[in-house]
Amino acid sequence: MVFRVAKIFPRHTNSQGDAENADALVSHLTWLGLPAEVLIVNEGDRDLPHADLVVIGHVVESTMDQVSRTLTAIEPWLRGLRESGAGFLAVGSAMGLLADRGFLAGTMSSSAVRATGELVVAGNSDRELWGFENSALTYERAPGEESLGAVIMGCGNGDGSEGVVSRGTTRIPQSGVVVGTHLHGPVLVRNPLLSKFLLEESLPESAEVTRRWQTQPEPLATAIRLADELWHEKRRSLELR
Amino acid sequence: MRAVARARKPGGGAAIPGVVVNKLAPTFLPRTLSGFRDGLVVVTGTAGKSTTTRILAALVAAHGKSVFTNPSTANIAQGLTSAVIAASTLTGKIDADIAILEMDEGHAAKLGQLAKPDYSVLLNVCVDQVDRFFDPAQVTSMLESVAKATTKSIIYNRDDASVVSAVTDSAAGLSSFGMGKKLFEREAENLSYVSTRTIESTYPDPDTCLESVDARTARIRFDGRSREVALPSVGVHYGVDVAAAIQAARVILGSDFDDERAVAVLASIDPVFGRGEVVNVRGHDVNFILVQNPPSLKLNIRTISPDTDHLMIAVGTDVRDYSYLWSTQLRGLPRVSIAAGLQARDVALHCLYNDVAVDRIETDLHRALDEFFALGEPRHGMKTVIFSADSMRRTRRYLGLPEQEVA
Repeated sequence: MVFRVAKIFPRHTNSQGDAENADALVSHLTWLGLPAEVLIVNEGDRDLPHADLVVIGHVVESTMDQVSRTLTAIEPWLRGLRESGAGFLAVGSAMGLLADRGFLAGTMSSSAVRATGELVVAGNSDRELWGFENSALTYERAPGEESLGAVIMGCGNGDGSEGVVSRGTTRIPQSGVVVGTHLHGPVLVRNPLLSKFLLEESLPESAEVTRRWQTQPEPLATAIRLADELWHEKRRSLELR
Repeated sequence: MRAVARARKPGGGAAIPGVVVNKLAPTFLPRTLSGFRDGLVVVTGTAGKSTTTRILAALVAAHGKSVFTNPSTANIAQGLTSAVIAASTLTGKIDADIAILEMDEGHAAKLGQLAKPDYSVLLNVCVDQVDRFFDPAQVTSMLESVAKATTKSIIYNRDDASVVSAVTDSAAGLSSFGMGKKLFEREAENLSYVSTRTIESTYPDPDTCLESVDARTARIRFDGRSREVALPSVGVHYGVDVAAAIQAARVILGSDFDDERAVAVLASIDPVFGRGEVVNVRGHDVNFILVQNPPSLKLNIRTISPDTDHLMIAVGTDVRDYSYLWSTQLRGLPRVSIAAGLQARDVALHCLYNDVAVDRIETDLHRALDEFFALGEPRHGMKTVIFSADSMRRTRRYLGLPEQEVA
């Protein structure tokens, strides 16, 4: 069995490298000894196969209408995946695209101020989440939607929290998780634990992911060590604690 | 005024006199730039400004015009004013027929309000410098204001949908450059325009059309004839830059434009340092490659021979957030000897996730360079350094290489 990670419209969702998180998930799975492949989904593609995870990156304003239209064309497929328990990662404005379609229950709105710079979040796991944000979008979570944690530095959702973790909405009650974040670029590379969380929440082989992750096979161990070094370096330069 | 500025110059950097003059005499720059008999040409867009400007200046000069142009390190207002001061007479006149200037998008838009360009060459809108310009839509609107300020003629990239939308409402004449149908279908994605035109079989060819590229040779069609021309370096983006320069030269020179002379000039152009130039350093030939944005990274990766066994990648503080380089996959690169610079760990991670092995991570660029040269002569290929602009400047200084980027 080969796990499949869908990379949605990379031509329009990769300006900050967000779409590459699909490849990062595949790398993590492969390094865990779980065969996986990227499924690139382009505009106009039909008869798409099953996917276990879906990555949608930030879409810039100038192409938003166009991308929204083409996303509507694959909406039934996405809905089917969501109902079968596939996990979703949505970055930046993609949170709004999913909210508009009922995959998230909250609301994305544009803000008068653009937030650009480092975003640091007190994560729900051992280590803070960090990365960069660059958008003028806020996200208001609906009741029942968790966040990724509290903002230590930066803007995030705009209410002191960052991101969203949704396990189902009234329109689509479901297993599997939708994670939304303002952290753009290689967020799952900089924060491997977020990747582990997504894999554990989305794959039926959750326990196997947990077990194999703990053994830290190479090159996963190197990837985690480098990411931790990057974070420590960043924390020093930002003079956090 | 000029005397004051010049007096400051020996002690200050290139931009210092520019700052002083722009403060004391805000009309100096626009007045001087409006004084050229054959006009003012502004070359702008995200990627390829230096190359296009240099080639266009060479083409126009080869047709007997005296050209004033700016070194690529001086494409923002202060640096530009400094370059103008250095060249101008006491009355603020520059002894040249025409000015051909590369300008970064923000400054081109601002300057366009003061000194109206007679011609503008609009190259592309790629993802770059996001810390500065935030959103490609802003860059597009800057190009739009340059287009609106242009009085005679706009030469634009027909394949970049952002550029096309920027010229739609302009009053000046329009002519285009771009890729032929086949090449476009194969290569458009590699150029990383934020918004590429759609593929339509009925789309007419641009006025100057890049038909094919093979290493440092391209076929370019203009005036109804396809000609083989030399490129300044390997890569499709250089082919597009050359097509832009040819189209601009044809518009500016009109009936004086001589095809044969243009082809000869293109064959004689040297590569710019850091854009595929080979330099001998400490007894080794080194191929230096400057990477400023995802498209140049993507295109340059493909020019590196897979058997290269001494490769260094250095990225410095100019790349504040490495994210946008992540959009480009590094797969296919040979083993990297040293990941260097302040963003060395980002480089190493980028390689790791793309199955490219990295031997060493060294955040101290000077130490990394020493180690790179201590590796001796490579068994295969040429020593190759890929660097960001900041790492390029530091490398150049450390190795004692010439400061001037444009001869």
